[in-house]
Amino acid sequence: MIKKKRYALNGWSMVLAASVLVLVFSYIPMIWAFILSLQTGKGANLAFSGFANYERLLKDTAFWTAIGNTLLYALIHIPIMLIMALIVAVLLNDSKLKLRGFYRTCIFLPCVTSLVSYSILFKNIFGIDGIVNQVLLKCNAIDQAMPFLLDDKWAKLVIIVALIWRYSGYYMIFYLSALQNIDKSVYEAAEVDGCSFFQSFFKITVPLLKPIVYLTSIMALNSTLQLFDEVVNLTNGGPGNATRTISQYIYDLSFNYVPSYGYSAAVSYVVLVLVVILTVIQERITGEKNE
Amino acid sequence: MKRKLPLVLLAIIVVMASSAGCRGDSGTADQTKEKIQSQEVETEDETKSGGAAGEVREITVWAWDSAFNGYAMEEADKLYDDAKINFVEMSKADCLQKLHTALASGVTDSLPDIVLIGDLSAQGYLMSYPGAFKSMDDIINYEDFASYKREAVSYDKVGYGVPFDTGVAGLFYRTDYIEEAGYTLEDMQDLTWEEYLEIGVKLKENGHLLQTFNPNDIGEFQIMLQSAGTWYTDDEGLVNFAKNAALNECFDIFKELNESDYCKVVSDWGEFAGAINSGEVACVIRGSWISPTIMAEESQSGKWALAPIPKLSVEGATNRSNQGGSSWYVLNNGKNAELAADFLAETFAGNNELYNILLNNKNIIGTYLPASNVEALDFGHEFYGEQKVNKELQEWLEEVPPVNTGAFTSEAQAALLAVTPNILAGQDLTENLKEAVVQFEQSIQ
Amino acid sequence: MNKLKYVIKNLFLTIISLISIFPFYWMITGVTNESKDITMGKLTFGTSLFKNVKNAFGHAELWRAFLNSAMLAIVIVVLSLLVCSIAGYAFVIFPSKGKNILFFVIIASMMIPFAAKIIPMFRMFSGLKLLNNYLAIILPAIGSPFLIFFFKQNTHSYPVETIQAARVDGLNEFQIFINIYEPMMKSTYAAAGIFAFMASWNNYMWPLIALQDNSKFTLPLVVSSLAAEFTPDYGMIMVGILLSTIPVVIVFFVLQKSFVEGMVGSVK
Repeated sequence: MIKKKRYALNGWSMVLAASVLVLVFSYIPMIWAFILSLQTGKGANLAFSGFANYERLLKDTAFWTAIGNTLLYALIHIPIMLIMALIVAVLLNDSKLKLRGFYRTCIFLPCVTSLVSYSILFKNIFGIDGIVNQVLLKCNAIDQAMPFLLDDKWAKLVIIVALIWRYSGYYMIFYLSALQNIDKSVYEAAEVDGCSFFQSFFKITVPLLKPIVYLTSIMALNSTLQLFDEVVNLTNGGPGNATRTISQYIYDLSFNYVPSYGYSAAVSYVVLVLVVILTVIQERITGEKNE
Repeated sequence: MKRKLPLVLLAIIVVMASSAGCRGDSGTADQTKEKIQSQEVETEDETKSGGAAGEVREITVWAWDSAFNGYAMEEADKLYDDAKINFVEMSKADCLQKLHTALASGVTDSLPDIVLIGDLSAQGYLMSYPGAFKSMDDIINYEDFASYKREAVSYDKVGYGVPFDTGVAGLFYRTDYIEEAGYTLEDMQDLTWEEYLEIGVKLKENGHLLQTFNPNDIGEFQIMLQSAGTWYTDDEGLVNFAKNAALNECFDIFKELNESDYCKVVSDWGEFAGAINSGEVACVIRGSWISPTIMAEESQSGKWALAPIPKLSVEGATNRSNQGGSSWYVLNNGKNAELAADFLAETFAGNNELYNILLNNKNIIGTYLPASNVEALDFGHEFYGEQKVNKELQEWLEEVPPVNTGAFTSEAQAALLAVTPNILAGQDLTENLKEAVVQFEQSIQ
Repeated sequence: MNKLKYVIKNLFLTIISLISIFPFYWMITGVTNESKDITMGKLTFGTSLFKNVKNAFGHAELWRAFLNSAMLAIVIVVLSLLVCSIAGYAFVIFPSKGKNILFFVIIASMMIPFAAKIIPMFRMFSGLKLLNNYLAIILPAIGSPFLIFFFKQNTHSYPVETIQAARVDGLNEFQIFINIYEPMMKSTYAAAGIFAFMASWNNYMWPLIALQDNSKFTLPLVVSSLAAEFTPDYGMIMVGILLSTIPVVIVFFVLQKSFVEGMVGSVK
């Protein structure tokens, strides 16, 4: 009985520091922000008006467009990116592979390449005179140069390609480090038992990586829903509102337009609720329990 | 040993962290401009308000672009003995964000004394934070400034900002391409938009393009609207889209540019500058601040000239307009509001020599009318074929129609931009403008 | 058959590596070129390296900003790894209903767009008199929900038997954490170190708002002000960008060996 209590005490004291820091420096601002979301008015001229901001949200076309775009990005780029990252991680997890240090570093580089510099490059590549158009013209796939970034469907595609390119390497690291934690002896035993590569991949690797795959899909979802920098640098939300993300809209509401801090706080809370709901859905689907 | 290591590491980190807090305050050695004083200024009010006689006080300025605005402050500082300038540089967007955060949170001890605000954003600030900015009506003489600028820095009939640089618009063009197309320098004066677009056809025949075109950027509308004395919103701040003849014409011109074959399609600043510097386009219609970008390509020296912008066909249209420009504002709750106001009054609002220096060394054109005769204006630019561009710009800026740009320019442009792709695709203009009105009103709630 | 697999594998990885490294290569050529060449997309090396470096360092306090960022990063990485790893560990090794709720609460806090917290945080730190003080940046960064999540998930694959054995041997819980768990989780700490470093090094919005003096600005802020002139000098900007990027690459280089070390020690 005493042991149980001591265990509990130890457990709680270990999470104490982190929890206090998060509660103080994240939750107190969050609560303040919620109070802000109940106020309307321009700039510092704020007054309480209940849920007026949330009602405004429902009729706001710019808001719904931004949410739609953001969810679209998430839906398409996350699976492709995570699968790619996983495949590459598994390929690189081979200690017999020469040059794997080189490959590893190269594939990691995109996520540290500065956004400003690679967006200049991407815009060049997909520009009217860019390489992509030149290649397509030469192959006669199209007869006139395509303004990718100025077309509302293609611009979204460019953003998705940019995101996959940039973050696959980042998530590869998650998988690589997790793969290292799987004891080699497990694979050896499987080989002795006569398992093929695919069998051991699906029956051993994937289940053992489940916690990490769950983590990466939550993280990817979270960061995609807060996507800001890539879109601002590549298309600035254009053409029109075709690539605008919800984070961009929140930023505009607070700093580009005459500020409506209450409204932007309300939009932020809706994003929070959305991400939480999607996370819970993901949890149910993957059957992952937070144990 | 293994057990002790993490604890030792932890101890070191804690010490570092707490000294990071302190070290930050006292500052590391500053080798740059001696004028930048250390951080004690922020935390020690006593020395400020007490101020022994002869002690030089410090004015903190937030702005962007040290080569341009920072230089201006540096020169102004030299002319003022009672204070030193602490120029805190950051990017324009960052500057606005910091200002918004500071003013919105009600925290006053981190505010600067002077802040640079772009004219288009100013009304938004003045509306959002009543009492945050110092009125300069009794301190400077607004009659000394170009009328369009006076309008831009006032709110509710009270003047707040000290006008700084101008964005007076001009039509910059390649003399060699234009002559090749059969036009003379006289032909280029006081064009109408119709005539201007015709030039594009002729240029195309010779293998040149008229100008760049970004279907996702309606910034040029600012020039066109102001040239006709109108704006996205009217004097009462109400939306002015559907019945705005000038705006309708803007979209017609925009469509024509979109469908023409004599424009270079670009999607951002890099491509835009590239098109100019690589010699692909013959004309650029922008505020005067575009000049350094054009002049970056030295091989084109002597091949450019400046003409007034084209005029619209609506009633009240002129060949004069403005795009951008900024002004200095004093914050009431900064540590040295009165001192800062006095500083601005004596330099930017009272010293001709300052404007002469700025013009001479950095091509900075101000809007201070008493300084409209300084010698630096007589300088003939080699790049522009010895044309006295600054003199012409200075003359024009006095004739720019004053408009009340209101606080909602960003919202208006966002609403219009949302329907622009539809308009370019051929949909009905009036219907789409009505839709834009709906979106606009939603966004200014 | 094996040889074919080998060739395909390497070919695939090589292509991906080349695609990945290309923009980085372009960034490096950018440092040596003139601004207008860069905007026109030049892909080869130029001769303006010295000039660009001179402009960049003469224009802004790059070096000082670099040191500021470095110091902050070191402090934040060490503290956050310590605090978050032990929390993540405890969530798995000492599970309870209360902890489940707490964990969910912690994770939820990272799902709100940061922009919503800026003004409240500004008010809070101003009230604590910590504005323009590095503690304002360090304190919120130590408790990182992401890192807690990361350590928790990785602890799932940790062999609990070693802990039981250690308890039998009479070690207390903290001793177990420091002496048994930490050494075995090297690859996790290495990966977490990279993530924590990147997050701190590239942190932009909050340092922008919280810091008031040029001399305290971190590197991303200074590089951003370089990029925001009337006529951006891209050559100069590239120098700032390269300076921002190299340290992260170095940290990766140093820590990546630990990825391949795997779990030290074994169940036996």
